[in-house]
Amino acid sequence: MAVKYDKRVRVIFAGLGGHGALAFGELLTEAAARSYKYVSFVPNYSPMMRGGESETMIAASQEEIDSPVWREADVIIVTSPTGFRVAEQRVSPGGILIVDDSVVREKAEREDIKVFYIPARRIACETGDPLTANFILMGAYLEATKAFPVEILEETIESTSKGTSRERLLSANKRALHEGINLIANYKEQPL
Amino acid sequence: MSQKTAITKKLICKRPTFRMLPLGFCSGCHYGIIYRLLDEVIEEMGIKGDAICIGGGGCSMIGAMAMDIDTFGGPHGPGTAIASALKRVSPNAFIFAVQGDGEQGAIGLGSFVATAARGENITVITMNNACYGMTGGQLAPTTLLGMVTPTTPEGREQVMSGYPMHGPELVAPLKGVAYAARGTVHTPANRQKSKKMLKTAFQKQQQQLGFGVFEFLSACPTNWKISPTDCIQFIEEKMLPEFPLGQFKNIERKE
Amino acid sequence: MTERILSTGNDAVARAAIYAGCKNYFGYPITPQSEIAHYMARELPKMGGCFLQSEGEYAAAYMLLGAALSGQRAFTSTSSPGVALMQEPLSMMITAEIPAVIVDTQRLGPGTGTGGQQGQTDYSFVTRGVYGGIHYPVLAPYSVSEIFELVQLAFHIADKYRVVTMVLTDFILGRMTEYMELKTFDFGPLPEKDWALKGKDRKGGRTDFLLTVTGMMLDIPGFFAHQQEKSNRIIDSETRYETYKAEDADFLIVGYGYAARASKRAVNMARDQGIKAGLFRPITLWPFPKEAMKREALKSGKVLVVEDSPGGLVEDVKLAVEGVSPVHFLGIQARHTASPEGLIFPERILQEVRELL
Ligand SMILES: Cc1ncc(C[n+]2csc(CCOP(=O)(O)OP(=O)(O)O)c2C)c(N)n1
Ligand code: SF4
Repeated sequence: MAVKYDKRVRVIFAGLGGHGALAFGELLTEAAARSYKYVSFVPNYSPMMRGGESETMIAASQEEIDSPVWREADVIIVTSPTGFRVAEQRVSPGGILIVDDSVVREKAEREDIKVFYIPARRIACETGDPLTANFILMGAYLEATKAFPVEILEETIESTSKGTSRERLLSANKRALHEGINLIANYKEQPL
Repeated sequence: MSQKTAITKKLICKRPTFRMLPLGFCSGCHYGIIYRLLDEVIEEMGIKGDAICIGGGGCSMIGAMAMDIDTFGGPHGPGTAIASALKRVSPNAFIFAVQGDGEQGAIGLGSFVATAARGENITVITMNNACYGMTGGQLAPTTLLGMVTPTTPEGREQVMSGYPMHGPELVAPLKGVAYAARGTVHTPANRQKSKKMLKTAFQKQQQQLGFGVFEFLSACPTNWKISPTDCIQFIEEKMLPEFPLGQFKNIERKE
Repeated sequence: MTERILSTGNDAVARAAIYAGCKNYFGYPITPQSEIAHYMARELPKMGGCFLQSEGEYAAAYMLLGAALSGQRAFTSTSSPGVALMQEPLSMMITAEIPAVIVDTQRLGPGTGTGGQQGQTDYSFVTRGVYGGIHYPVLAPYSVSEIFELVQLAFHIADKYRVVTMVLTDFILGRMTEYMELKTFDFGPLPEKDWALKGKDRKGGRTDFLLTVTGMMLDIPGFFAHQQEKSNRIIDSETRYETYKAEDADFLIVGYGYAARASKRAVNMARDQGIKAGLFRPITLWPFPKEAMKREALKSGKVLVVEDSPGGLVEDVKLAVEGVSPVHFLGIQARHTASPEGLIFPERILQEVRELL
């Protein structure tokens, strides 16, 4: 696809072990690699603390990436109640915070960032596949940032799950992706 | 409401105390059951005040951290050496080391066998999950032939990585060993049998009869990559034929 | 055309070794580098190589020695507590001049540390050489593509000088994914390994006696003179470093590994704010680029060492700078602990720079 991307991507997914931060990061990195010359992906988690805080940082750019780690990100997706306040602080001014509010009960306080509340886990559970929650969030991310066209993501999901155990979830994952896109497209500000 | 009280009254065994809950094991892991057994036995024997646990450097350490007794843990492998010396300088304490099958059969094997041969008056509890749990399920000395792990991608083959090792049977012939046995907790009946054997193993130390080792078979759903219920079947069908249950040595008095 | 692929740092280590013609791997699982062993377990048997999971790190390093005795390339990888256990065999290899490569993907120490914790706490421990007072080269890449290059270089240096060579990465570098180009680097000709043990019939009747018992050597001063001469050759020919925007800098940040990446970004952020910052990055930690360090420090006047540890690199920098400019330190206490493990972020480095201006 001959689309030119000169936007910079700098995203953090902050969740708990098992929330799919790793899969989210891997997928986004693969997708980003199709449109950007440089990408970096850092998973940061502790295997000792099962269910503990885990976080991935993804960057993409047409120029060389100086550092793969940073405190501030343009977009942060957070699914960890304990990590929520910190995540909110780490969004760069004017950036976006996407919150899974079926897990995180608190509301953001900052006014210089855009916040979306998406009950991803609840919806995923309702459709019978809790593992697709991070794909709903991925869809929300895509629609909120327009970082890539959805086709690139779909292609990536297909090619990375081919021949793996994830193949089974292919259509569920794609459905989740579009679910996320629709949630943002029809998003209504919640009364505080 | 009243029904609830009735059930509570009927409890046959009270919940042992832990220093830290919840235990940080994966769901479906048997380590939690094993630690509960350990704690029950320690409480029933009334040795909570004397007991000192030397934890290992694998997932077993997570449970050691939670036990409401004096604990040391962390190093991967040398637990039996540490326990030996601590027992020698504090003979009245009740000392047991908890080890993964990996640390006991690989990096700590020298210490394990030497400790058994010296007949140190300590107890060693082994957690046999047929893999290296904490580091991601790699080949352990106990891995079954044919089992796929990250370092045996084609399944364990004897030519590449040898045969499964049997800790209790290995040291049982040594004269210093008073007790060597294996149990499992994958069914309620086995859980009770294991508890009994565990108690016997501990009693050998109290009677100063020498080295005791008790191995638990344990499920590791995370690294076996199967569901907790399939793990039960795996233990039943795959582990038991390789790792027989029962007592391999049980000395009643010193020769 | 060379192929450009996405790879983790750990996979880059494994791929580089294979590109360098190494088909022998010995190791013991330890986070955060077990993926190197997993890669080797998948690939080496297919190419007729030798993959062996040892019974511990001590044994792994002796297996490394054993394989290297044959004259073939061999390597091992481990992480901090594992390196500690390998110290004795490493000293043996250095004494008997047996070349091999070891990769240390640092995790947080001391003690068991934790497998999932970033740290750069091995610096002093691995750059001061083995017991017996002999140094070995330590290379410190800061990106996936540089890992791929420096692991290949490590094999070259090892064979060229008959010395154990270490590549020092860390949790972040090992686990992160970046692009790299798959290619074999040519670092020049190498001496023949006529010392290798193969049986004298295969060596034209020559026999070799590779000894680690320094005390049995007939000429002890001669042994040390030879090692010294070798060290000097390594210092003269292999010292490597890199600077970034340092030409006109009046504030110099020094770092290696992931801290150098964070520092590079701090330099760019500082420049955006009109602060003339620059970066000095040692690529060989031993031999340390002392002269260049001093020269750059003198030029910029102010130095800040950034390192995710209680302080290791900072000592080398102070020694090199010899007081010509003040040396400040930003260490492990500057970690932003809100993320799962805590890291030193570029924003924190910039803040320090601004405070020190
Ligand atoms: C010297 C050293 N080498 C390696 C490790 C990494 N390590 C931590 S736990 C472990 C294996 C754990 O397997 P096992 O002993 O079977 O215990 P489990 O986790 O299954 O309970 C290893 C290799 C370490 N901590 N220290
Ligand atoms: S990795 Fe395996 S042994 Fe460790 S806690 Fe999880 S299930 Fe238990």
